[in-house]
Amino acid sequence: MINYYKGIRTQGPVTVLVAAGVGNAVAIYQVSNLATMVGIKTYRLKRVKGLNAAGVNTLLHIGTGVGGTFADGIPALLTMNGLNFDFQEGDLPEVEFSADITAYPVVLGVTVQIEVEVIG
Amino acid sequence: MELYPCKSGLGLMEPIALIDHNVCLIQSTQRIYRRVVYFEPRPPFQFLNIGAIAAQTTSARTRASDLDLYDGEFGQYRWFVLDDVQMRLFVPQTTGKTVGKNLQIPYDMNVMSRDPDLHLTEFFQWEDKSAYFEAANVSDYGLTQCRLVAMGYRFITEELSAVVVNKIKAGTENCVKIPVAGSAGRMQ
Repeated sequence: MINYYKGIRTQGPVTVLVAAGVGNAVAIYQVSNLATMVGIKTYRLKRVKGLNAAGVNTLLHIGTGVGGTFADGIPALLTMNGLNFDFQEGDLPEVEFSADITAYPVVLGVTVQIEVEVIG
Repeated sequence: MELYPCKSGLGLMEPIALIDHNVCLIQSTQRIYRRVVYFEPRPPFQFLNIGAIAAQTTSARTRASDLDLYDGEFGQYRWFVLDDVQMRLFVPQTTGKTVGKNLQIPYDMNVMSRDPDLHLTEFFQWEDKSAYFEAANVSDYGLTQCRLVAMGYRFITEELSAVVVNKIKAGTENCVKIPVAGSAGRMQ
């Protein structure tokens, strides 16, 4: 059966979250916005992989917006100190993002990379 | 056996014509009448790598010379892209395929899930009147390569006599009509 709704699976860069706190959210996946692009693309979060080297367990917030405009897109993820984390499709809600996906840790020391399904 | 472009058949690609079939290759306003004397498959192969494309930029229109054929031959191709771009097809260089009044529809990686047998990617090429490809990296991330894979058939043909051509034009002789170039339309 042909699945017309299936998208392209791709990934963002390995991103070191260089500062903690909601005011310091940075992009972990930037959306496509070439002026000549045909169609509009949206992004379903499919996997969140990373490392907590913060020295303590900490929450990782993923959403959209930076600085004062950050809004959670999914509930915060608890990451364990000194361990890799790997939240996969079954762990994540079927949220569809249409703007740059951003993130911040509550405590400094988290590196993250995400996979998304590009719908469009 | 009915043969026509973009045919789905059992899902797999079928040759547009068989040996001894008459074909009419339509190239702009020109019609080239030929008879197929031989054909063979061209299995899936990587025929073009446009190369690195920076984020949010469009590549040069690039000739796909590996699809070219000898004189008197035409090719039937289906194709897809391996990398995350929006790809426009031109056959020949200045004539876009899949054009409408306001939009030339690009192909992208979605074709593999939405048209798995690649029916609607099918195009034909006469001799070395090459296809050209233009890739837009619409993403915010650079690409290190932009690869395309094609498959299809190569047909060797011979000229038809005027008598047969006249019969085809009169509708008394069978002939498969095949567009081997894009069309700008009639601009109405």
